Amino acid sequence: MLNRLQLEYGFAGLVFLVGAIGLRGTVELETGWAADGPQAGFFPYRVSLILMAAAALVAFQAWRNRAALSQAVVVEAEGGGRVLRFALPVLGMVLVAQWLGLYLAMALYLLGTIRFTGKRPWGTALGVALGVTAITFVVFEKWFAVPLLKGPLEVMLGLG
Amino acid sequence: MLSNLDALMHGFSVALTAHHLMLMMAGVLLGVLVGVLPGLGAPNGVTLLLPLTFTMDPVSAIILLTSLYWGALFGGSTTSILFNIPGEPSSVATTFDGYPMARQGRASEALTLAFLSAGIGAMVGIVVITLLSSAVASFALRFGPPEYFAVYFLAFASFIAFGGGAPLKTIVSLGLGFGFGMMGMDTVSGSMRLTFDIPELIRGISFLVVVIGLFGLGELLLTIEEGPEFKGANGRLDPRAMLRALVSLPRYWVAVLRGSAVGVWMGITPGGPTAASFMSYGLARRMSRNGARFGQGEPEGVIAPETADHSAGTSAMLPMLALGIPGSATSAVMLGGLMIWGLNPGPMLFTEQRDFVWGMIASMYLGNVIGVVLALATVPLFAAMLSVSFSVIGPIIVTVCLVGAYTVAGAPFDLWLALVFGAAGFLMKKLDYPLAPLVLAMVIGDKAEDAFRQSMLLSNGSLGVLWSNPLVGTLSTLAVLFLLWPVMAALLGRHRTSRAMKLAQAENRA
Amino acid sequence: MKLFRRAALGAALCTILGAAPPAAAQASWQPTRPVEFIVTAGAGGGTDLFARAVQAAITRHNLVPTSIVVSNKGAGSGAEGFVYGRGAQGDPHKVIFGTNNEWLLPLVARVAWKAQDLTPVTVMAYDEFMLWVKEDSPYRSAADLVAAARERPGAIRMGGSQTKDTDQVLTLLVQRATGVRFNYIPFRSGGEAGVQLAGGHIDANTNNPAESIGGWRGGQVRPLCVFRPDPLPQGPRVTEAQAWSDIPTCASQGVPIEEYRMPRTIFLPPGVPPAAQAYWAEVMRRVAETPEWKDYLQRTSQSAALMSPAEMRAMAEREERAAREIYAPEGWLVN
Repeated sequence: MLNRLQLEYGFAGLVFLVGAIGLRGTVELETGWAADGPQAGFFPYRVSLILMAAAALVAFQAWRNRAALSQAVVVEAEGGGRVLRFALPVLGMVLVAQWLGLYLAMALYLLGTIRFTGKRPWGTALGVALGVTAITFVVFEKWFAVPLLKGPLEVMLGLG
Repeated sequence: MLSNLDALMHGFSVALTAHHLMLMMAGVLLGVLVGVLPGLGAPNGVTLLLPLTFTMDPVSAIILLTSLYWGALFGGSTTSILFNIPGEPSSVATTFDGYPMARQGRASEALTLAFLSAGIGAMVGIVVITLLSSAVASFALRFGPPEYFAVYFLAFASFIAFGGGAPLKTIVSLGLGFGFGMMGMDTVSGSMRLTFDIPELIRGISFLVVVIGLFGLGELLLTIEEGPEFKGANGRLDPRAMLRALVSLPRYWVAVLRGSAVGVWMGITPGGPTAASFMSYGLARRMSRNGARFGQGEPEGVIAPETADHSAGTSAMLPMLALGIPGSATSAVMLGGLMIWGLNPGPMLFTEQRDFVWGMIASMYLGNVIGVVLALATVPLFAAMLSVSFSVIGPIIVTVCLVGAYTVAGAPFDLWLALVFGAAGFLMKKLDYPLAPLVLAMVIGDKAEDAFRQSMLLSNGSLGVLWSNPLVGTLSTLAVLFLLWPVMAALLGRHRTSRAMKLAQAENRA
Repeated sequence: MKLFRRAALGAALCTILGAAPPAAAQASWQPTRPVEFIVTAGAGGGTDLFARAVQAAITRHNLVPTSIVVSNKGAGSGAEGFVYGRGAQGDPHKVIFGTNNEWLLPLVARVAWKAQDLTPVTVMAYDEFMLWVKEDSPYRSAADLVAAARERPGAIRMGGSQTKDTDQVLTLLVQRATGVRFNYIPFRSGGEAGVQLAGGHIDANTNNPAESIGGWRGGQVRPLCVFRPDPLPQGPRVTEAQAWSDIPTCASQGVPIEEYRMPRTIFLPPGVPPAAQAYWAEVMRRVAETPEWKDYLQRTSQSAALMSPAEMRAMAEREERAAREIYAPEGWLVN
């Protein structure tokens, strides 16, 4: 159960961090306005500063409104749980895709979520998983010659 | 102008053959397919067909390729409206009101309106090309770096100034967009910026990956949090809703005209279809009587970006042929095709290759009519997808999003980026950060910066170059006025607005 | 090496499945999987057309047994594609198409590859450079342009594609050779620089013939001279009055630069077996003989070339040394 105040603080902190990293990235660039106009780092430097300032102000505004904001619940336990149950398999799919390739990861993900999160029968899950993967393969690899990420399995089958 | 009409008639005699009509149908259908899939776009479709065209005569070849482009423009709107995933970059703005309409069970209506208004926008663009073909080319030549900057600035100002949202959070959103857009190699200095020596960042962050994350995955997370099923999405095809939409269209003639005008302007200058759709949406929200309802499923919010998108897409064909300026990735590939067919884009094309140029223009009329009809015919098919249970369609959308993110650059790293931006999209929506400014800043931010710094190189660092001739001066002044609009409005009607703001804030808190 | 082992495994499996090439060809290397052509430029750019012309010739004449996909990785002046190729260590199914940016880019930008990393295959063509002005400009010859730049130092605006790339280097060379100074404005592509010249927003540019042929025929821009030791070979007329061969050399107009050309290069990832390098060199030799390829060269006004990998390596090293000398006084070198 997350209240709005915590979330506001958290995201403002994140934006502040992004700004700080951006600022760090402009260290080796010229950030001034030379005779021929702004240099490479001119805009990145200022945008980073503006981001940090805006993030600080957002946090300050949230702090001034803290009474109201800490009452407002933004993510309920139930909804939050559903989001996590949905998002974690996606994370798993991306992780698996890095070394097994996108096709295998996709089939496993579809099979798993439709069967276990969605509680559909095995037949449906298997059908959708294989069907979507096969259609994706045909459309991308065969019709449009756009190669997707492949792993050892595709190479073994001579498809990669 | 009369000679242009003669030429057009000649063009129709070239384009109106059974063979060419077949090519148009095939092109549009294939285009709708690549447009619907977020990972594939018109550029993929055109490169796929390019080798086939080597053996065709150039007129048939360009008819096939341009028809595919129109199909892709139509198809791109479908997933924007149904799933909040823009199939094409230029249909991002269509999600703003199209998706809420679909959520309210008005998917058929939204799709019908989108396709019809897009078709009208395209027609306006083609009519302008037909009548003004010679004038437009010389007008486009007047655009140097300062003019380009002013065009981007104007598009930017008209969207931002007339947008809603808390000012501070809009600034954060803009800053993030500009920052992400700057990553990668800087055109003007040739140095790597904000890449932190990470090879994956050399190409910068693609705005398509960001959009897929923020809009596609982020929206899925929001849907999931609210409930396990699509709320209120009515999957049944409703022919009466389609008819109602058709009948209601004349009521929105102002929005249609405004959107077309913005689109033609951005197509010729050429700011591009994506920027055009944003600008048109921003202007419509400011000027429409229903402006307050924008973002909550207002039909005008679908019509405005769609007309602009398509009229920009069609009218941009003219600078492409007459000057060789590619307004988009798709037309860049088509330009490559022209060279392979043995044609050189340039003013001479219009006098030496009349069959080719006017055959193509005539085919644009026919291709867009076919596009509207075929796109409408696919509405039932796509609307039926909404009636599939979320526990099945949800994961499928996830895979479509991730495949799309991967194909942008063929980089596994982009899968992680899409996830990060998915999470960010969820949080930003929760905290009322507007997402559109981020996307717009990414789309035109780095182009605007390049144009600005090129202008400064030309003028030895003097800002006066932005007011150095009537054209650029008018554009810059308008942009500044637009940007200051909220301030002026506040000064003029301080009392009224502050009360409205308080009300709105109270509403937000509740 | 992992990728290479995978490829070897794939090849082994193919043999088992009976899809292997005939026994006689087994000593040498042959592709066993779909081949990827990596283009270090965006779709529609010069390098893209180059790779697609090679692909068209290969498919038309069946020179490669497997299918070929072309992927554009042009971000960062092509750095994206070279980094990708560098990462595909030992995989001979990836062929990288570029220009001299393979060895020039690492000098001016901090990128994750070195010039010697990639395996050279061949140079297939040379693209020419010309000096262009607007049709109605007062400059009738390169000497006029240089004289104007001498009169008003830094006021003549020279456009080109990208920064610290071939166009700007050529501008530098002209400045050095004549002792004048131009105001160099970088654009995203040569095409863009061409349109800016036609609109009169810049005074001159150094486009390749193919980038400005449309503008020349349309009476928007005209070439002053070509950076070659001798004029271009005879060919059909481009405009009513003139053909490419009528354009004088720059050296004859008081800009003493004998030759400045851009090679169209082909590389393989690092650590590929020599047999694969030889295989691709042979494929490209046969591509160069096809009518499609000759047609491409003629249409884009490029001159043919065909180098052995060793010659190509030597030329790259020579060019790199020369570039270092030009870049150092400008402060461009980053490593």
